[in-house]
Amino acid sequence: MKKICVAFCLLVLTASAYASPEQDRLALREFFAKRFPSMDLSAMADGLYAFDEGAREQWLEMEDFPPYEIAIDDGEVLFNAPFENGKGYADCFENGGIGVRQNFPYFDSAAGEVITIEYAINTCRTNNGEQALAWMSGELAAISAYMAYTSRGNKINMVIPDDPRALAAYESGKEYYYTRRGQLEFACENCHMQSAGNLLRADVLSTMLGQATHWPVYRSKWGEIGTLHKRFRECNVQVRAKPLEAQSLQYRELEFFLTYMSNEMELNGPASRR
Amino acid sequence: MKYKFALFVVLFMLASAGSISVLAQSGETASAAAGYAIALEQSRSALMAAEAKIQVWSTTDILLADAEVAAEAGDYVLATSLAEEAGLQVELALATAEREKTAWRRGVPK
Amino acid sequence: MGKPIKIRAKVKNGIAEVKALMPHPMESGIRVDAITGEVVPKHYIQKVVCKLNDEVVMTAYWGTGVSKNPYLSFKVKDAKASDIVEISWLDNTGDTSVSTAALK
Repeated sequence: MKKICVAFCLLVLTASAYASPEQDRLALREFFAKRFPSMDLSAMADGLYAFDEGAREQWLEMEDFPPYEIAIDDGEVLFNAPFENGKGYADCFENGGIGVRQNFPYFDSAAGEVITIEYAINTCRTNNGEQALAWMSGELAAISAYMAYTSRGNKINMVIPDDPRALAAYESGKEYYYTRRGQLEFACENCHMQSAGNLLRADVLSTMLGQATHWPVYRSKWGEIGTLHKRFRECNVQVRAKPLEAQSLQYRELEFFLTYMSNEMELNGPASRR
Repeated sequence: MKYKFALFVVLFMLASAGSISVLAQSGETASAAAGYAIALEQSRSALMAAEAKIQVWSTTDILLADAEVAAEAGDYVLATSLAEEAGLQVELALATAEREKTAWRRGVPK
Repeated sequence: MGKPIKIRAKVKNGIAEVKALMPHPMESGIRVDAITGEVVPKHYIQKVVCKLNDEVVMTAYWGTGVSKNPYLSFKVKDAKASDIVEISWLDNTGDTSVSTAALK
């Protein structure tokens, strides 16, 4: 009898330890469903355009002939250009790199770290004797845009392996997301969960749910296409926190957490934003 | 004879007063430079701790850089105040880090 | 030869709506390169000519106020499906680009 009690107690204790990624994801969906009961959760993949009617109209008009189209075209040319050694990006990715965006980021058990799509693109280059590209914009962003475009409509398909290191990476990203930082002491969650749908100066804040579906993004403010980590840096600076390097481990782990929260949502990148 | 002596005393006092103030100035500079070095070292080591916790304000590095520029120009008063302000920013950032160590979970939806 | 112009052209009730996206750096000549510290030379589209079936319907004279990769949209009357729209640009370096599209 005592053994059963002890076993049961242990079970309860371990079960009540921190929630699993899947539990987190479902709790987050419930959070937004309660917050915006009349909104279809899939609409949140459009960010602020799910809330701001006027901006949405302009955005839909732009979608007729979107500014990121040039990046997709450039990206396609770059993607198909072979390396000096004759190999190409297609040799580094499943299915030749076409329609695979939904599998990123993933936890590489061999390397013991999170791999994002941009990280994989540059790894492909360096493994084949090419120089790495700059992380945040330009050619790398164009290649990422092309790969995102070929995967449009696919559902994000992140699988976190049953590996304590993968869970630690997830937890690290999660902690970063919820931690207040910078002179303004804001956490990502303050804007994108608590204040989602509200105005921050002249912009409407997007929800955390659906934020990972549409990268890379042509931001009118940038006048060019840019990656998610470029936006992470911008967000850091906006709360007066010193930004980290693009594709640094912490940012990759943050992307890992952020993308898992939007798991099973449809990819709709690349996208244009203000 | 008295005048000569009085003149000599006055001149001597002026000269010593002059040399005392010169000595005082170079002493001031030396201690100001030392003060700056201490403030800089303290702020830098605290900053390293804050970097490790990924809690650094975006304005801190610039203050330290400006402090170095001021020090090179010999303005140790300005340099010290800039270094000290950087140190204050790091202190506040570390306070945030300490609080957030446990408080971060408050925002997680249950 | 400059990069090709992307054109989308639809016609409805005799009115054609033409949308064009022109890849072009559109440098004003004022911008300073953050790394080299040098002024980036002027490189911008000066003239845009739009034709419908070989007839010029619109000419645009642009300056340095137009930003990178300009988007142009205009409407033309008395158009019908399968009419040909031709758009061309000329920039300050003498470079040109011409593209055509059929009205849908």
